[in-house]
This record gives sequence, C-alpha cells and structure tokens, in this order.
Amino acid sequence: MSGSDLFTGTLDLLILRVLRERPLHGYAVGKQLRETSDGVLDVEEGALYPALHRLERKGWLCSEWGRTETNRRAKFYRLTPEGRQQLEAETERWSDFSQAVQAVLGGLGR
Amino acid sequence: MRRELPPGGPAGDSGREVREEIDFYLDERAKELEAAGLSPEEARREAARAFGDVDRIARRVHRIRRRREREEGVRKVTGSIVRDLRMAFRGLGKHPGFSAVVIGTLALGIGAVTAVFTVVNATLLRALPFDDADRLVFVQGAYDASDGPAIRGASIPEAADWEQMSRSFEAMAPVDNTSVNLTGDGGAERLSAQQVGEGFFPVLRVEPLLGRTFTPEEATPPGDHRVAVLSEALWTRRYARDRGVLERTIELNGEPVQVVGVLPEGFRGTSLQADIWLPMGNPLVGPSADRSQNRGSRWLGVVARLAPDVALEQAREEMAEIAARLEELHPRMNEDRIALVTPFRDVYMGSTDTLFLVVLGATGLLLVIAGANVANLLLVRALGRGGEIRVRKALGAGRARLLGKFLIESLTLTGLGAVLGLGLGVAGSRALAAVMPPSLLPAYVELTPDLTVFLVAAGLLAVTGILAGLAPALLASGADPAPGLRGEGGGTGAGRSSRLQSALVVGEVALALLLLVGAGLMTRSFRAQLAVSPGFDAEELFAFRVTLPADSYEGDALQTAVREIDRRLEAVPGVSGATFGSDAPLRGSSSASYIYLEGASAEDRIRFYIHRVPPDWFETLGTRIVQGRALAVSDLENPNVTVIGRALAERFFPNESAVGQSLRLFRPEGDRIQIVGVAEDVRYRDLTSDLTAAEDDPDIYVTWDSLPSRTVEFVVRAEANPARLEATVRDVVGAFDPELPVYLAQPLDRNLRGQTAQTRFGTLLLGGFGALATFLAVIGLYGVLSFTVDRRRREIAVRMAVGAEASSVRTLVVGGGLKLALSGLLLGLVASVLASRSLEAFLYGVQPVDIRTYGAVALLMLAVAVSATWLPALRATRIDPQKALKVE
Repeated sequence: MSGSDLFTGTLDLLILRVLRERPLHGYAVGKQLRETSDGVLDVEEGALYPALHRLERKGWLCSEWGRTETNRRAKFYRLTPEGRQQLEAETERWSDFSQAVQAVLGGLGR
Repeated sequence: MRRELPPGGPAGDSGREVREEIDFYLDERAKELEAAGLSPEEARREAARAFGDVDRIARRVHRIRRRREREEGVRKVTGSIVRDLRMAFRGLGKHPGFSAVVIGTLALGIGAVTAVFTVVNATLLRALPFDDADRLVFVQGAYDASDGPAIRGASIPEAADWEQMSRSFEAMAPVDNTSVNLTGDGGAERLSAQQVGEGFFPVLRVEPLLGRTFTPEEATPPGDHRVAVLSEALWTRRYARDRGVLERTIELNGEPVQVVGVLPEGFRGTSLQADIWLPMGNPLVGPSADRSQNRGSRWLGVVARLAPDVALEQAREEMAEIAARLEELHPRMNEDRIALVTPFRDVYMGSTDTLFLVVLGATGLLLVIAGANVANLLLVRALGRGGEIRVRKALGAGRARLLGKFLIESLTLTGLGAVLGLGLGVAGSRALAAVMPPSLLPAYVELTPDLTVFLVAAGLLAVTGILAGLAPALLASGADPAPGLRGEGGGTGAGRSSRLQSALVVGEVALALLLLVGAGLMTRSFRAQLAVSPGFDAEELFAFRVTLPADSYEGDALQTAVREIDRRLEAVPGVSGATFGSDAPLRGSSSASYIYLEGASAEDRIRFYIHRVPPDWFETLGTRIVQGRALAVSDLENPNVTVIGRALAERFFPNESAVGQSLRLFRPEGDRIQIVGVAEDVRYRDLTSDLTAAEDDPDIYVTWDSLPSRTVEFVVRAEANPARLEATVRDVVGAFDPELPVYLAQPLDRNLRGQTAQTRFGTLLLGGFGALATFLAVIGLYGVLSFTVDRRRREIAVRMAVGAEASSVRTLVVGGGLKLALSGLLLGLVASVLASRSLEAFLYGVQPVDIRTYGAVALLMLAVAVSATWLPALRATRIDPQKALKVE
C-alpha cells in the first residue's frame, strides 16, 4: 500500500505546516486541512487523530489541555523545535520532488 | 472483534481523554454543518459519517499513546541510571580513601583470579597442539602389580596384535622417542627425534607442509629406508626454508639420510619437542630384525585415535579383553600383562592438574574474601549515610529506586576495580609464568588471556558487584525513615547490619587462615624437600651428555674415546675432577632391568636401575661408600662386581652384611655379580620417594667397561662456578671430534632445583595469596571496628564522662575485635582440617593436620588482628565527651 504511505507522509507534513504559525486544537487543524488542502481528509476525517498522536510520539508535536474561545475544554497541539526542523526538511524534499515531477510532466507536454 | 473494548473506546484515563478529544471534534463539526443549513440531527449524522469509525480510530490513537508511554518509561529509567552514575562518580571523588580501598581490594581479587585463570586456562583447559586432541589416546603396555599398574612399553609384535584385534580405534601407530646427531654445515647438533611406525601421522592428522611423510613400507621394521622428515622449526633454523632440502641428503649419526618432507609449523610430535622423524624401517634408529620379532622386547609407545562414537570406556574394555586373550596365547611372555588406554590430556597434564585446582581454589577464596570485604566496606558507608538515606525515603524515594542507586554505586566501584584488575591480571599472568617450573608450563603453551578468561572474570565481577551492593542496599532501604531523621547515627538497621558485618569479618578471617595454613604446609614441605640429601654433592658439578655414533666409534674405539674426553676434561684449569657414566642423577637418563637374588626363581625378579660407572665416579660426585669399598681400577679386569645402594642392602639383606653376597643379572641363571660395597642412596629419579619401599626400584652400580653405553653422561667438578664450564666443555669435546654434539649441558644443581620447583611454586603462590587474604581480612576487621566506635560514640563518651579509664575503653574495643577474630580463627582451623587433605599429594615430610603449622598460623593471625583493633581503640579513647554529647 504505497498509496497509503504517500498519504500518511503528506498528511503528517500538512499537519506540521498548519501548526507552524500557532498552536491549534484538533478540530481547528482539521478545518484548516479541509479548507486548504483539497481533500486529504475526504475519506475519513477521523484519520487526523492517529496522525496527531503519531507526531506527538515522534516528538514533533506536544500537547496540552486548554480552553477554546467558547470556553470549552480542548486539547491544543504545538510544534516542537524538532517538529519545526522536520517540517523544513520535509518541505524542501517535497519541493525538490514536485519540481522534478513538474519538469518531467512539462517535458512530456511539449 | 469490534466490541472487545467497552463502548466508547478504551477504558482508563487515556481512553477518556481520547474520547473527549473526539467528542469535541464531532460537536464542533456538527455546529459547523448546522451553520451551513443542516438540521441538528442531520448535522450530527453527517459529522459522524465524515469522521469515520469512531471506535476504530479511538483504538488506533490509544495504541499510539500506549507505545509513547512505554518509551517514555524507558527514557525515565535510563535518565535516573545516568543520574545515579553521575552521582556515584561524584561520590567516589568525595571519599577518595574509601574508594581507593574498595577499588584496590577488587582489583587485587580480580587480578589474582585473572592471572591464575589465564595460566590454568592455557595449560589445562585449552586444547593440546593436536587436531581433535580429545579423541587421541596412548595405549600403554603395563604389568598388573599389586600396587597398581606399572607402565612399561609395548613390543612390535604386541603393538601389531593390538591394532589387528581392536575395533575401538580409527588408527593406531607405534612411536619411540630418541635422538640423533646431526652433522654437516652448521656444526654438530643433537636433535630430539621420534621413530615412528605406519600410521603415526594419520593418527595425529598431520599433513606435510612440503614433500611427503613415510610409506607403509618405510615404516615397517626392519628395513633399509634411509629417509627422514623435518620439523618446520629445524627446516627454518638449519636450512633457511630452502625447498631444495627435499633433494638433499643430510648427515645423521654420520650417515647420509634423504629428507622427504617437512611438517607444518608448530608440530613437534608426541614428545612435543621433536625436530626430526625417522621411519621404523630406517636402520639408523629402527629396531633390528631380532628386536622387531621379539615379543618380550617392550620399548614402544603406541598412539591411537578413538573411532567415532566409541567412548573411552568401551576402548578400555576392549583393550582389557585383548590383553587377556594375548595372555592366553602367550602365557609365559604376557603374564600379568595389561593394556591401558589413557587420553592424551591425562598423559600431558597428569601431574599438573591437581596443583592447579588447588591454586584455582585458593584464588577463588581470595575473590570471596575480596567480595566480602567490599560488601563490608559498602555496608559501613551505607550505614554511615543513614541520615541521607532516610531523608531520601522520607522524600518519597521508592525501595526500588534506592536499591538501584546502591547497585549502581557498587557496580561503578566494581567496574573500576575490574578494569584495574584485568590489567593486574595480565601483568600477573606474565609474572606467574616467569616463576612457574617448566614441568607445569609446557613449552607449547601460549599465555595470552583469551575471551574465556575475560568472560569468566567479568562474570565473577558482576556477581561480586551485585552481591556487594545488594546487601547494604537491602538493609538500608528496609530501614524505617523516622528514627534516622532525629539525627542519631545508629538507628534501625544498624543492629541487623552489624550482625551481617560481623559475620563477614569472621568469614574473612576464617578463609584467610585457611590460605595461610595451606601456605604454611607448603612451606614446611618445601623445606623438608630441600633438606633431603640427594646422596651426592651437587653444588660444584656440571653435567653434559654425548652420544657416540656406532659407525665412527666401533668396538674399543668407544672406550678409548670416552676415556680420552674424560682425561682432557680433567686437564682443564679450574676443574678438580671429571668422570662419566651411563647416566647421572636427576637427569632422566636411567634405564631399568631385572636382577635376581641367588637361588631365586624367575617370578622373584627385582626391577632395578643399573648405573655403569668408572671407579672414580663415587669420589667425583661426593657419594659416600657406607660399607665395603667403591669400584676399583682392578675391577676392570674382573667385571663381575657391583656396588649397591643402601636401600637395596637394607631391603634384601636386613640382618646380614650385603658385602660378599651375590646377585644374578638379567636372568635367574644370568651372570653372577658379587657385591663389594654399599653406597649412600643417590636420588637418581626424584627426591621424595621412599627408596626402601617395595614398589621402588633400587639402584646398583657396575663398571662402565663391562657394559659400555653409547650415550655417556660426563660429570665435571669445578673449583668454582660450574655454570661457566659450558663453553669450556663444548670446546674440549669439539676439539676431540667436531662431529660430536654436546647436549643437555648444565650445572647439576639446576636439575636438583628442578625437583623442588613444583613445591616452590605452590609455596610462593599460596604464600602470596595468604598474605593478601590476611591483609584484606585486617582491612575488614578495621572497618567494622571503626564503625562500631563511631556508632557507640555517645556510649563511650558517657562512660568517659563518668570516669572510665582510657585503658578500659581500649579493652572494650579491642575485646570486641578479638571476639570476632577468635571466632574466625576457630572456624578457619576447622575448615583447614577439612580442606588440607586436598594438599596431601604435594606434602612431603609434613602431615595435612600439622599442629605446629596450625598453631603458628593461628598466632600470626591473632597478632595481626590485635594490631587491626588498635587504631580504632585509640580513636575511641580520644573521643571528647563534651563534643560527642553536644553535637549529637
């Protein structure tokens, strides 16, 4: 299931990207992903949670319970310094990769 | 499957948290959908549908979290170990004296074990220098005597029968150790040789490095096959590894011999020292036709390899049957003949392993003492830090955490001790090898510490460290925190621990005493051996051996040559006398035969050693004639006279004068020889056997001329420093005939010292260990007493405040120490009585339970113990009552 690996890697990268600016709770992360990513969560929105916890286990995220603006208890996720490094490294890898793909596809188109 | 978990996902806090997170998402999502215009119910349904299977996702999250928690647990423990290690090292620096003593104690114990085990491993446990040596055996021809088998040799027909009749062996081959003169380019040299029968090299699984070994035809006696194979060492030394050696002949005993092969490096035959091998069909050394067929001419060794799946016992049973069948076939020749099957290991290691086991045991004791001492010292410190531990406990440190802390501390100490100890061990094994007699350390042994040694040492260490750390840890962590916080140095745990400490000290004293008793017994035995008179005056004597080959010295030429060399030796300045004989004392050259008393039947034969000597032999060696006269020049005309050893005279002529009696040589009806004198017993074979015992073979002397030997031992008496004679005698013999090699040239008292080497080694080792053990026990005793004094400061202070004399305080402390020492002494004496039996084989002139040794050792230990108590006692009297009572 290489498709699933690709998907997992993409999801992880997007989550890190979303959390780069500020800490967010799970729902907010999901919402941003749905709005900006063109459907990585289309199959199953719940897939977000295993991903968040996986990233936390790797030490790229940390979490704590807090209050939302509506004063509801929610768990907030924040990027750790390691997570930030990981995000940069992955972003670079992705842009190299996509440039390469672009070049190939562009060449075919011509 | 889906419902294996309670509804709502995994249970527990973690489960609830995950559920709460998901519920929050679903609520917010539904709100979002509601805002987009769905009804509340529709919004909820749509949110749930989009989310996916809640239970499954909750379980996945839960699994991830559990994994994370496990990893964090490991990290936490690792972190605390690192912290403890750091603290342990810092602690070491804070108490440098204490740390040095503990590390030093361990290093000594471990160093001793490593050194001794390196040697034992190299000599006893490591393989012999043969392929699959555990399957190799010697088949030995022997006589079944009342006091055990007397090993002789096998004859050629007998060896052939054994091979043909047996099924237990893959292969079997006869072999005999001999020596030959090598002459030609490079000078004359005496070579250690072996003559071998068919199958010798296949039995040992040796393939030639160069050329070939012998054909079956060459290996069958008698024959005229003048061929030889060389050792790699000889090939390198004499022929510079020239492959052309295979096309050359070399000169052995003055005759040309064709070299047909070179054997691989390291192979030195079953004698472990051979340089050249000749087939039995080589007339140079091989038996004559007569000897080849004579069933009674028993001179061969037989090597064999056990067939696969045949146990040693099976082979032994089969050879016993074969010997019985041969006895039936040849009732006269093979009466009482048996065949023993002895593994190579037993033959090569026979005399060494018991001593090594004793030494290994002593080393083990030393390590136990070192371990006990370390435990003791750690205990003292743990209790000294009672306050710290109680504070930690009060602050909530768990029992496991405290145990871990103590273990890490003791393992740090042990680890440092181990590193130091291994270094000491390597150095120690070298030192040990230097003082070891060659009989214990065969030449082929390489003393390199190997992985086995390291693993054994490391294993011992780990155990020592854990035990030494655990005892104090258990005691201290079991302590109740409350009383300690009040600042009293004593408190809970102290009572129990002081009992344990006392037990440790008592044990240490007992074990140290045991080692000292062993050392004492060995010392007395050593001195008794030194006191044995060898029957000759070895001090200024120098001996060497020469073999005169038959082709150059035929008939009377042999006698003439030997006398001429003797005459030239006597003429050397600084030489006060020279003589020669067929053999010399303690040089392993004597050979045995049979004599009969006048009128005795064939059954009443007496095995004896015959020494062929000229008339001046006794005077030159300094052997006293106790009765009658020595051999005289006039006896050369009438050779049928003999001088016998005193033991023989006492054994066979107890109530009459031996002089004037006669004996028959070799056969009941053989030559009659008349006894003309009785000589002081000379120790020809060893120093300690009882020469008058029935199982010992007596000595007789006849004139050398009556039975001249080709191998001659010359003995020269120097006016001073016989060691300087070596070059001189080589010059003298070389000037007489450059083709005659001089060999085994050395002062005779070196052979004498070789006899006591084993005891000396044991004495040295046990003595060293005994001293070390005593030192450690004293440290232990001192530690306990110091601690006791510290713990009883207030009590002592009160006593002194109410007017107790310093002397009575001292008595109190010294008395406490002596009680421990005496208990240890008693225990040690009992243990010594039980254990000293293992030394019996090495003791000469002293009983295992020797009152004088035991008494002396006990007194020594007592004196040492008293001195160990003195310092703490002195400290006790210096306690200032005011300070002691105020500060606490």
